[in-house]
Amino acid sequence: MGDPSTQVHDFEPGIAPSGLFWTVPIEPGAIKVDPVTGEARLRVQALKILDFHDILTALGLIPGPAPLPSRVSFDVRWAGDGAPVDLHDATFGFMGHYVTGPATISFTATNDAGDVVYSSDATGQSNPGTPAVGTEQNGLFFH
Amino acid sequence: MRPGFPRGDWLRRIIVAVAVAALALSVFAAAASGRGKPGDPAPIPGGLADDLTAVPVDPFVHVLLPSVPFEMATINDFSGMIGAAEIQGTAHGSDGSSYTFDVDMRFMQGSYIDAAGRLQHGSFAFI
Repeated sequence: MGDPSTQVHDFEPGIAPSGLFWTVPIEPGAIKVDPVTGEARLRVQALKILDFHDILTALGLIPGPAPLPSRVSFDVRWAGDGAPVDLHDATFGFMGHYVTGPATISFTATNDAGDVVYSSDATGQSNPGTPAVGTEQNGLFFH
Repeated sequence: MRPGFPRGDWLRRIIVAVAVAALALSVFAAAASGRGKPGDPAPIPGGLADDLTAVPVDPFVHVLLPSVPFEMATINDFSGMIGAAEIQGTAHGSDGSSYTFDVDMRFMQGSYIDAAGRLQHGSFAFI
């Protein structure tokens, strides 16, 4: 994760009163996935979202500016074709079968009241962790 | 003369009954608001503590890292397809400004038990 002290934009949907974290419903067609190969694509256009300025403000850890109504469009691609991983974690109560592989993103983001469009650069992207695509079961579906 | 209904008493009883029902409904709604409304998914019970360690219950935030071997779903009682990745790179503004970015992107698509305890099917993005 980047240094929050130098962060100037934090586009995310916020935390629901239930605690559901940065998760919003989308159209089923926004997701194309092949859990066998690990290839997947997530495409969303003009999603209404907030810009919390930085993650510490977003989490309520420091006082910050009011969130700005914004819109983001993104196209995330998981290449798959990596090592398969099977997990069964009784401590956290989930299991799954995944295929690893690099992921890249193309995005634009704008503040509704602003006129600057922020766009990702296609080159030089990297994945700090191990991206993965697969199937997962937790809670009542975990056994 | 046939005895009539004590309409004043009935009216008061109806008003009291409606008031009690409304109070019960508002109490129920208040109790349920923290869990969300029907259709809303519930968060995973685990997540990151305030020192960023992974904990199975009572976290500071109900999310873990977008990487195996962590639980990547944010929805509890979920069974379906998932993808997750942290991606770092550079970006630019239309005003000529330049930036670095660090995003956590995920999708979940499948079945889940909603806040009302009903089986649902849905598609979700984590941004």
